[in-house]
Amino acid sequence: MASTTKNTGAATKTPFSTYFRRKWQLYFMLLLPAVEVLIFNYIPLAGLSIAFQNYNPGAGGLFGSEFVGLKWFRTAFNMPDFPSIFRNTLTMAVGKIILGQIAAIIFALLLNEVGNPFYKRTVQTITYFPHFLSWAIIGGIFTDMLSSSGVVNQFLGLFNVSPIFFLGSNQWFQPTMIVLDIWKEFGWGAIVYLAAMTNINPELYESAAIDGAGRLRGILYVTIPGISSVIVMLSVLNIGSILNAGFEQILMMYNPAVYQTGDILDTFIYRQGLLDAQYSLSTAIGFFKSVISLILTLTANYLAVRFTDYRIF
Amino acid sequence: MKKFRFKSIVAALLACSMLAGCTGAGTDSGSSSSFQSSETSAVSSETSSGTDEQDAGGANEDGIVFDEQGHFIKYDPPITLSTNVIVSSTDSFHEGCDIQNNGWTQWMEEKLGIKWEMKYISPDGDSNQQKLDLAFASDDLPDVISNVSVSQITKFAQAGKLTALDEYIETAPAIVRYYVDDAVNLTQGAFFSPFTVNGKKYAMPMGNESIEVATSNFLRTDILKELNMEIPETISDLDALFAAYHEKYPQGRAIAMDKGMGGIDVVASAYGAAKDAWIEKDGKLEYSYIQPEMKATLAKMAEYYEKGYIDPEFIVKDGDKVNEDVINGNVLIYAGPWYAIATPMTPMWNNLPDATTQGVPFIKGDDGTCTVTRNTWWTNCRAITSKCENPEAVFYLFGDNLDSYNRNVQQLRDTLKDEYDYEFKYPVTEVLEATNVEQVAKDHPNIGQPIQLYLYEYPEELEGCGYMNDFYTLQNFWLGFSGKFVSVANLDFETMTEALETGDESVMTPYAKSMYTEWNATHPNMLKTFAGIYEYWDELLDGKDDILQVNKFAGAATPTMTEKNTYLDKLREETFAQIIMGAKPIDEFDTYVEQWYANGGTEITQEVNDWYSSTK
Repeated sequence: MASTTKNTGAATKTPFSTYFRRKWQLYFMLLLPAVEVLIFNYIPLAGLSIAFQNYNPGAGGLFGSEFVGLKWFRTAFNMPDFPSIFRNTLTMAVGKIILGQIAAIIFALLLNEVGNPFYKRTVQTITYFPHFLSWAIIGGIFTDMLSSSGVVNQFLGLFNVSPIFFLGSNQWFQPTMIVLDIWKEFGWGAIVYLAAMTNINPELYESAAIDGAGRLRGILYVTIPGISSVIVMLSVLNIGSILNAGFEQILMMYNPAVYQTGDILDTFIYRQGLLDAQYSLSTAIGFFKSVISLILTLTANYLAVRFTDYRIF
Repeated sequence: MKKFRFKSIVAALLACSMLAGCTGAGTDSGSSSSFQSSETSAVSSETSSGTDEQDAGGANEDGIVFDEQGHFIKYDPPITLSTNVIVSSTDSFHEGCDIQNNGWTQWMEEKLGIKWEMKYISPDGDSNQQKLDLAFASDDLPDVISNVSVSQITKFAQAGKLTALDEYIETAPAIVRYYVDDAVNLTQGAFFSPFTVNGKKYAMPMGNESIEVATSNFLRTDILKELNMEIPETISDLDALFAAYHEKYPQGRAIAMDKGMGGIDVVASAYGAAKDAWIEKDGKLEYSYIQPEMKATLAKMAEYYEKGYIDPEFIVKDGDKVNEDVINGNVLIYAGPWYAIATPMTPMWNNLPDATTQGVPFIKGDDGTCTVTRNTWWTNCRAITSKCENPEAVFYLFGDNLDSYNRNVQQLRDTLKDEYDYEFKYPVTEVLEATNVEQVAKDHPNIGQPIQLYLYEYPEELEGCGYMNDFYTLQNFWLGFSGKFVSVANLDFETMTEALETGDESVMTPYAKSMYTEWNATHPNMLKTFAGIYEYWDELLDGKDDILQVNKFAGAATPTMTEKNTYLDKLREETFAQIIMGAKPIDEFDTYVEQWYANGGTEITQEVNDWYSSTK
């Protein structure tokens, strides 16, 4: 767009061909990512048709299988455990999104107030490190830590709390999953906020200080307004994942005793689709998930534009 | 106790004649060069022309070389077959070798002209089946698939992905036909029934060992002595034993139990309950999980759980974690297959030198009744996909394999000559013992029987010596070409047990002898414990006390099963876990039964009974 802005005011507009000839290298470089997105993101969309077919990979395949309309959606919604699975997904995802974001913001605010750069960087590195570990590892560690003889229960024992079976009781499973997820991700989530905070003009803090604002007031009236656009943006994007309750985590940590509160859409799709090879049924549920996410993201974006005048797309 | 990885030991045991070997690491290194570069040509062929008409010594038009007697010799030019394989973390290779390149693959390529491509390698049976499912979904199954489940076979065959085997079985080498006929007789004609779709056979079952058909109860007899108790016979004896044990060791686990809930086997026999089986009641097949017997079993387990006899957190423990408990001596009774003598028992014996283990009889009810439902003879199978260009190669391999295994069994040589007009390809050969058994046992103290590492000093020119090495047996097992299809009366086990009792080592078959040496080198307790279990099973299989009943359903998974089992299994696991853990009362079982019927159980029962009446 650089050339068009340069020519603003002039009556002549550069034709695209001239423009392309001058900047073809940029288009060329864009080609690879574009092809990648096309191959890995757009072409597989054709696979959604599986949701409306009696899909049989051998006989018929993607284009030859029998069309059955909304049969699989009806089957899925009529599953006796579908309501509880849907509820579990929603509870855990909403918990993780809201609490996770709050935790990340608070952590970023606190870390931003730390003066010593070495200390600040060390803490930041340590806290975002768990993000890079797979749930298979973390799940194994926490299964031990949360057992009745584990560290957590020994600590609680100091306050005369009788051992809690975090991973085996329906009462505790969801909160435990949410807290673990927050622990794993808050450091990583804080990075974006910290970056946004460095963009705040230091003069604002100075003038606030001159006006008599202490640290707390500085946070409230300078830092938070300064990162509000990032908060809105991340909230809108996160709402799209409202039906993603963390497949890996749940798969590693759930067990028959907590199916009632622990089973989520993704584990359900995994069992139906991969283990039992019911491709159509699991695609239908996956499709349903995507549609909900799309609607929610668009709505959130609309609301963001409407009320905060901040546009993401 | 769901996941045992020690299948490999079975491989060695399945081989029913001598197994020793000729090569080791020594010939592994450079022998594969001659065929490495030659291009694989598509050798599509039918074997219907029969094997006898071929020119002696030369390749026929399909590129297959036969000798004068019609034995398969090799493919010339060589062919490539892709397959999937399970290699667990305890499986080891000679230095510089791996699953794709080792003595066996080199021998196959050089001598038989068959190059193997290991397309999918998995660490255990579960992930193997998942990989096959994924490969199926993306239409990328290898030529030969092994360790496939019954329901997968149905699914793959219905999708037209498998080659029907009927024609190949009919024209297979005589020794293969002999074994198939034998297996069909032994199983009263049910040998192929789970793998038959639309009247065609789509897989060759992978046989189970006779004593593998149910779990055995391993009891720590040293603790028993310490408590001054007798081996429990009835459920009341068990109550008393557990109470005494719990008093002495409050943290001990009377029954080993993981999230697969396999530990319920220990009490199930007393109530006649069975896991995942179809049993006959008034001429109709009924699902075992929903029977009142199961309810009684769960009630007992809930009682034990409440009294603290079972790990309160069993529901988050997997098999490995429970094995740790066993190895640390924290478990009184462990229900597992016979090869648990390798894992976890061998590490346990090493860890606790005073610990002794005995396989004890199934627990009876207080009225003296006892019922154990044994598995079908097979749980897995191997099949050939429709894109495989040389399905007949698989049957030549079966033939070559069986011929080499049984080369020293004179009785079989005579039978095959008289009844099938079949002369063995391989000559009678002197059996050598592995040279480094003790060294290997020393280097790998906690691996039951690392037969892959044994070395033999067979002369290099010995034909077919590859099959005589334990390592080759193991590789065969991995790929599903192991010994007999169904092994019911195992002479090796029998003579080994006899030798241990009488002290007369001369009665043993050659293979029993080598097993005897190897097991003794690994841990002397292995033999002692095994012998007890073997004798008990031998009596049971002879019909003693009428304890064994059979799962009557041997058909492929029915349509409703495929559709509804995910939910029904979830419902069952959840209900059972909560009943045992006391989160729900035992009467929740009745709700489970109602739910089971309401959500597909009625249809499944109907389908299973339709199958049953169709087999009568």
